[in-house]
Amino acid sequence: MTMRAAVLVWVALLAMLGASLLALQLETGPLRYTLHLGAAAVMAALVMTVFMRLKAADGMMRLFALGGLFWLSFLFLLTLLELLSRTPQAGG
Amino acid sequence: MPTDEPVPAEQFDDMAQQRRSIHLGMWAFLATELLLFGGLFAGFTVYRVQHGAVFAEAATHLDLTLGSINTALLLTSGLTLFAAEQAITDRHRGTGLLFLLATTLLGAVFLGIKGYEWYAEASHNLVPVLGWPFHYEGQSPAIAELFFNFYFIMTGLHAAHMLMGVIALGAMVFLVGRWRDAHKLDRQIRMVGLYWAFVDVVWIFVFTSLYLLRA
Amino acid sequence: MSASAEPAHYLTGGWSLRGWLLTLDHKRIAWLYAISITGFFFLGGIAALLIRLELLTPAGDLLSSEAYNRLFSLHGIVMVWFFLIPSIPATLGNFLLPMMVGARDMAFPRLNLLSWYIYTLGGLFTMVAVIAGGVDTGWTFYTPYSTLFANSAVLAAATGVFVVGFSSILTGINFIVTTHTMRVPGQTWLRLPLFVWANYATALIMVLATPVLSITLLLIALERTLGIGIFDPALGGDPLLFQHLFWFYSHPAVYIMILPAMGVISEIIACFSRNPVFGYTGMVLSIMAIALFGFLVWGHHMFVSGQSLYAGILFSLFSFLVAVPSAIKTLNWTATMFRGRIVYTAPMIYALSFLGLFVIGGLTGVFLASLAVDVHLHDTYFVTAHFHYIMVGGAVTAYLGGLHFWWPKLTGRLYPALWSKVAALALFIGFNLTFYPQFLLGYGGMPRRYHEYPEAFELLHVMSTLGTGVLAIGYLMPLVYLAWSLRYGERAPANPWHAKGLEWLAPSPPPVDNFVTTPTVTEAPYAYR
Repeated sequence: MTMRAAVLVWVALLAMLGASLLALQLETGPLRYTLHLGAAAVMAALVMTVFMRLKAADGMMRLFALGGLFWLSFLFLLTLLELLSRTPQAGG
Repeated sequence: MPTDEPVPAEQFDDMAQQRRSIHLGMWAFLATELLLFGGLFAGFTVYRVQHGAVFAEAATHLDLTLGSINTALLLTSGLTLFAAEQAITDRHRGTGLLFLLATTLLGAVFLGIKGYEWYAEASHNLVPVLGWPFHYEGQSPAIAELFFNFYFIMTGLHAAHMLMGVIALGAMVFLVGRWRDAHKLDRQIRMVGLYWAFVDVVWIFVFTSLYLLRA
Repeated sequence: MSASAEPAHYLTGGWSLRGWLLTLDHKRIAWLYAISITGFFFLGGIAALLIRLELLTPAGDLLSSEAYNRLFSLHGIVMVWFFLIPSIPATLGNFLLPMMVGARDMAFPRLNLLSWYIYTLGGLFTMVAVIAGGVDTGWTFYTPYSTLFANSAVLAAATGVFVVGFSSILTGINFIVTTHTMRVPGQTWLRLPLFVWANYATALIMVLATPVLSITLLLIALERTLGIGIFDPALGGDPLLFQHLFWFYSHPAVYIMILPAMGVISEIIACFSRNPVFGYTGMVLSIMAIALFGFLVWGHHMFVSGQSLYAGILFSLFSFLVAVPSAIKTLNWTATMFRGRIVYTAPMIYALSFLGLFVIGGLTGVFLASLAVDVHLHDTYFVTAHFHYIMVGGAVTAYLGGLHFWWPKLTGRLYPALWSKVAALALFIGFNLTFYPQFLLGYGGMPRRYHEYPEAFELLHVMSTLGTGVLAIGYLMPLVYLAWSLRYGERAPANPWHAKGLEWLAPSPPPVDNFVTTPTVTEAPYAYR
């Protein structure tokens, strides 16, 4: 991981931030929100692969990083599922 | 420069094993931090879905400009810390020190701006803690209060982590200034770098969730 | 220490305070943990005795309902967080994990010592808070009672448990990294003893689940101190969210408690059947499957909480599925004994006891996983009996079994065989006498956490309370003869049970660096045949 890569990533990060801020011009709705969250995901991925050197790391470390996300997704998905499937008769 | 062969700690057989152990350990620790913030985000997501309109409107009361500046500062600090790490492993003490100080400064400014935001929110009576007056002009002030609760908890927890990061950076400035054990410095700066970048990643999502998902 | 020429080992070389309180030796740290854990166990046990004493009569005559609430809360908090969660990993795991991978110590010895301090000091702080201030929310801290209405030391207790959580996290990180990076040449993943796999999976759960508890407790603390309520219904908050966050940790927590126990049982049964563990790969996959699926079932604690029925159905399905790997393990242990040459030592009696009690506990868990059945059994003594069968009949039995199995290695002493077998039997008998009636009580409708009850339940309660007397004998006896053995027990050879495993290659007790020469591994695990 060279300085050059890091600087390019930094430029890309600021660009993504800019893009996300620009997206505020769009109408509020699922599209705009998806863009914001998508930009965040890309920025996070850039930081993790370059600044945190995951790209150069061995498989086990990448597994640890992704593993945490994977397990966290259980919390999100099942809790949201519970919330969204409540009906007046069937709980909630 | 004479090469001082580093000696692994007693429990390790060689430096490669020690380095690998420290890296794995650091990532395992970051996984715990992910789950810590993750629990908070899960709660926020639930309410964001349930009370979408009110949360979106409440978000407009946050200072988008200051939040964006803070985000840019933090992203930049990631670069400066990366540069510091590079300089230190290349044994350029002066450059390393410079970039470390830059990172520390950026972190401190971030915290300053954050503190100012909180102060501004307090003067607009938007801080529902300790029974302070909460005056929200918009629909459903009670639910908006829920949004602000999350805002202060999330930014507060993040700021606490930033503070610990700034302290760790301060310690690195001292250690790099002293330049006692270069190989140990490599390991230490790597760990601080990982922690700082992680706190950066958390902020990206804090900023997006709280400031950008607005009406 | 005796004057005869005893080779230096990890227990010689001074009994100074510094040598123990500042030790970095994983074996000494294991003993530090053992002392703390035993202390907390007896504290929690006294609470249990008082509970059973109160329940001897239908009237609530020994304690007020307030005091009773505080008592069972104390019992739960101590037993779950200060006894069961650390028990096997922090004692046997700390001592044996490095040895089983052939290492000289854990990857991070200082973190290891730190984890003990955090645990002991955090635990003591919580104890003072809970006893002096009292906590009446149950160990589950449900909102909005805990955040808005309880007038007890909830904040202090939540803070204490939050602090102790870091001990779990540090232990978990140490175990994970040690298993990954410190195995000696030849000690590949699929040659590792199942005890190592079990503790590794436990460590994964510790690392992934505990932080969610941490944030949940932090949120309670913030609501009570700063008034920042995110569970407050008046603000549109959802008390169920608390339950989701709490149980996301607390269900995997029960796998933290049982997986190491399962690891112990694998070691004991293989050794005393003189057979390799049947289906090693299946056992490994089951261990990892439990760690994974254990995170998908937490909603089965919330079937009647008002959660969505559809989520309930999904959680019920996953709860049935998570029973499968446990069942596989039980069948494999049984198959391990097939055509074996069984030796009925105390560890083996504990292990056989575990098999029976774990099956009962596990199957009753499946009953509770059925939505329709749980509607009637939730919050009754049936649930209490179910989890005590697993936690006490399973985990504590395995802990004692492991202690007896590895005692010669840990101390270099043998204990009297007859007394140990009597104690193991007393435990089995006392346990069943105490807890089997509770299934019947629950089935009959006796609610949990009540200190008074209708006359019709009296006989079963009396049986249960009398059973605790026998159970107590089962716990106290080992305390006596194991302590006795430290001074007067016959000196143990390196491998008194002729067991397989790297730890048995070291002298009893081991030297500070564990092995005289670093071992290499050339054969499969459990090469008993």
